[in-house]
Formats: sequence, C-alpha cells, structure tokens
Amino acid sequence: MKFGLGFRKRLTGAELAVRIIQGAAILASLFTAVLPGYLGLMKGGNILSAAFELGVSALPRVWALALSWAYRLTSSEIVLHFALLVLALAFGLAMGALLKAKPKTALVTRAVFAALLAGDIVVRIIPLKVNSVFPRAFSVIGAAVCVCCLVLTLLDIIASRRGAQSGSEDSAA
Amino acid sequence: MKGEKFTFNSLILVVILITGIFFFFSVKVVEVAEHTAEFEFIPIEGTDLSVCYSNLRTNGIYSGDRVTGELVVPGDFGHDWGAAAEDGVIYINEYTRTSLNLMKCRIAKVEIDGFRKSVYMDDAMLRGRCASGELVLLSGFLMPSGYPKTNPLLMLYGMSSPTVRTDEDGGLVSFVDPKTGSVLYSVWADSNLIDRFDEVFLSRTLEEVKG
Repeated sequence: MKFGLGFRKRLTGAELAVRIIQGAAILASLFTAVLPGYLGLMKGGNILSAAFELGVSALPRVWALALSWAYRLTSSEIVLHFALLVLALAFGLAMGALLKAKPKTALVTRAVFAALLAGDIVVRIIPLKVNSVFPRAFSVIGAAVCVCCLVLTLLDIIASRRGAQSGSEDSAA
Repeated sequence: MKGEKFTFNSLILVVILITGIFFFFSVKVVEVAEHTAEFEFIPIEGTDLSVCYSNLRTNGIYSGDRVTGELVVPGDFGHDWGAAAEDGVIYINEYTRTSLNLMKCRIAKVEIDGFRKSVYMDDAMLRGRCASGELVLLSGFLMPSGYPKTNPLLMLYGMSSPTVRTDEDGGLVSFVDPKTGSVLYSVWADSNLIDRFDEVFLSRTLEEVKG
C-alpha cells in the first residue's frame, strides 16, 4: 500500500512508520541541540523540553532505555544527542535497505517490525517504572504514534501479500 | 536528492553535522564561563586528611595541612555534609558533573591504607551520622543542581536507573553500619520529612527512627 504525503516518491506503510520514528528522534534532538547555548531551557516548561519529552515518549521503549543508559554511563548530554541521531540514521538506513531488498526479505522485515511494534505497545501498557517517567499526556501520544506505525506496517503487509497472490495467479493463468 | 530515503536520512546527517559544529563552540563557552575563585580545606573527622575544594589546586583528599598538604586521592569530594571515617575507611560524597554541568552526587569509599577509592553508592548522598553513630544516607533521588525535578534530562537519566525514582518527591533514607558498610535499615521519606532531615533522622538514634 502506498501513501502519498507530499514526498517525491510515495511511501509504503512500513517506510512511513520508519520515518515517523526517525521524526520522533529529530524532535527530541532539538532540545539537546539548543541546550549548550541556553541552559535556562532546563528550568521550566517550554516548547523544546516538551518536544524532547514527546519525542522520547514516541520512540520505542528499548530505544529510549538505551539512551537513558548511555546518558547515565557517560554523563554527557553531547553523547546523548549524537546517540539519538546516529541511532535514527542507522535505523533509517538499515530499514531502508531491508524494505527494498527481495520481496521475501522485505516481507519478513515488515513482519518483524510489526511484531516489535506490537511488543512495544504491550510494554507500554504494563505499569513499569519506565512508563511513568514522562507526563501521562506524552505517554498517551507516544503510544498512539506507536499504534499508528503498527497499523501502517500491517496495512503494508496485507497489501504486499495481496500483491504477491495476484502476481502468482497472473503467472498461473 | 531523488529518493525520499535519501532526503530523510540526509536530513538527520545534516542535523548531526550542524549540531556537531555548534557543540564544539558552545560547550567551550560553558567551560570557560564557569570559573570563580574558591579555596576550601576541610578536615575529615578522626584523620589527618582534609578535603580540598578549589580551583587554585587539584580537588581531592589531601594529607597534611592546607599549605604543604599532599594530594592523595583526586576528585570532587563534598565537604558540605562532612565525611565519616571508621576502621580505616572514609565514606565521603563525591560530585560528578555532566558535560553541561548538571551536578550528580555519589558516595565514595576510600581505604586510608593505600588510598584506594571505590563507589559505595551511586546517586546517593551522605548526610552525616545519627545519634547512635550509624551513617545516614539519602538515595533514590537526583540532584537537580538548580534545575527543577521536572527537567526532562533528569527524567531520562532516571528512566533506566534501578534506584532513582522520578515519579515521587523524596528519597530513600538508609542507615549504614560504618564498620561493615551494610545497610541496617531503610525507609522512604517524602519531601516533608526530607525538609526536616536533621530533626527526624540525625538527632535520633536508629531505634528511635525505627520506632
């Protein structure tokens, strides 16, 4: 299934889901990017700290935990910033390559991605400490983003299976 | 620039490059701007050692007096709540900073024989001794260092920590046997009790606190 959202090329559901997750990482990185020049941002509610909380909440929980662990280990906001962006880049490149690989590989990649997203949603529902860190509103929006990505990926899987079936019927005829 | 994949991934790459240049200059500015002259030399109870906190000398634990003292353990040790020495071991607050000067505190254990330093407890602060002599520690919290607890970086920091709690105000108060280093009793204290810390925990014996 292709989605046209103003990109030069139409994206499939899974590709769009990958871009949404990358977008969450960029959103969170805005806060850490501006912070060294204006430490007062940490002193109260502002649009950049809200963007950070929203971005981290929308990222997969494992990803957010890895960032937290890296931050505790290194005590460096700079490492945190670059870890956030490098992970987003690596994720985009890896998923881009896998989704554009052979149809079977792409289908398996979509299925694994959907399973991981479903697992992430389940983890968000369990009352763990990691789920209560940021304000509830951001947690709800983050979960909604995750559900949206899962739906897009599932639609993509259905569309590619239909495409594969119709292709095999055509060749049989 | 034809493929959408290149557009999005290259956007991230551009952000990495631009912020890399920005960080290079702005973090240097923060480092240069923070200096103010300070010199504190506080003796540690029952020893001939002192904690030096200064930007004129290397911070750390010194043996001897403030003029001729020799550095034996380098580090940013706290002199504000005091340090406790017992059976050849010093328990002392050690402050560490993040790259943007967010202050963190942990309790270090220094063996006087050989001056070996190890971390006794992360994200914790030694507050002193109670009336019966046990060490009183406050843990499970983060030092906001002038920034509110709602600071998103502190929240992210506490997210993966097994001890730090960001969902409640307060901290875990632990009573530690200074001879063995074992925790004898722990109790969660809300912000109201923390505000009256000396009265509630330090001026009482462990048995009174338990009661």
